[in-house]
Amino acid sequence: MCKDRNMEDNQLIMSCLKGQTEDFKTLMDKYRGKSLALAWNILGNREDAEDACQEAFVQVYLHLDKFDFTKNFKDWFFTILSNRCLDQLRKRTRFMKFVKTQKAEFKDRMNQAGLNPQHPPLLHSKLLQRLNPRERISVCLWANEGYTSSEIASVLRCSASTARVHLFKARTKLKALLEEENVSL
Amino acid sequence: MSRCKIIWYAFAFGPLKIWQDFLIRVHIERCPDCQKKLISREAVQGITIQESQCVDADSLWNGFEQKVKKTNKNERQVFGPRRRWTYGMVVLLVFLATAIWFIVLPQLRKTRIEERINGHFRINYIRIENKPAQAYVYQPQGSQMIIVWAQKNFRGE
Repeated sequence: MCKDRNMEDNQLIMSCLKGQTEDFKTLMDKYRGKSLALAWNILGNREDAEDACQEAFVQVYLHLDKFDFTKNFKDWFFTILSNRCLDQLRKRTRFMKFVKTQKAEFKDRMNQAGLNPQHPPLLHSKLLQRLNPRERISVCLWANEGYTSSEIASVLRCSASTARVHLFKARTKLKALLEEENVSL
Repeated sequence: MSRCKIIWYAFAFGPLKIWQDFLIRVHIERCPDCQKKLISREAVQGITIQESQCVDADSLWNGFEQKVKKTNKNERQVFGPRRRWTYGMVVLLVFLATAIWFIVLPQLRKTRIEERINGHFRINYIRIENKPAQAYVYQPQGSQMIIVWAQKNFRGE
């Protein structure tokens, strides 16, 4: 089943490389739901997630000739997407630091311009917010895509043991947080 | 149960990932008590966004097309052939100027000095009190200074 899927992806990529750009849309349609869900879980809001997905698809489209056909397209795409998401989170952290340092001046300027300073949107789930980004990626891939530690490692570009530790920490933290908040699932 | 506690303490106080991974593989993954401390796949699915919630992702394609156009334009601007030639020419000129400055000019200067020395410095003979003197000429190594020492030729007296 998985091999069939790989073959199908590879055929679509081959035809894209031959110049049939409509096939890239087919490829995009196939993964847009999964990619948006993953990015949304990592970034916490839909707008940023859509942005990250678009950037990831653009990167894939522009570097399709560098794709290694011996590997899985989905893993390659998820690697690019998770890197985009991590970049966005880094940008957001930098922005928050800037806002903190310039808070007073920033507020004045925004008021003068008739705008209300908005904080970056929070994560969809407060529980996921408590995890670090790599733990979030690991747990989402494990739960929603059924990935194993070694597959997560290939997406995160780290060793299988590191991925296993990320996943384990994420699962432990989430369980503890759920018990703290008395959420029954 | 007490063994599990020791394992969890060992996990918390051993920050090395290889050590933590070893503990996970050896004990935590196999122990039913430890597994109870981990969240299940279904529970995670319940608190995360699922693919089924993202079916209306049509706006992705429009944004994608715009971004591809924008990126292509930027790439053309950055790596255009005209610019590539210009950068190439600039690099070549800088290289030539450096080569001239450091290799050709010092050699020219050296030959000019040598020519000047050869052209102007000539001693045919030295005479003291109208008699030929004994002369010593020497030049210190690496210096352009030439010292001439002349003394009366006592043997000739």
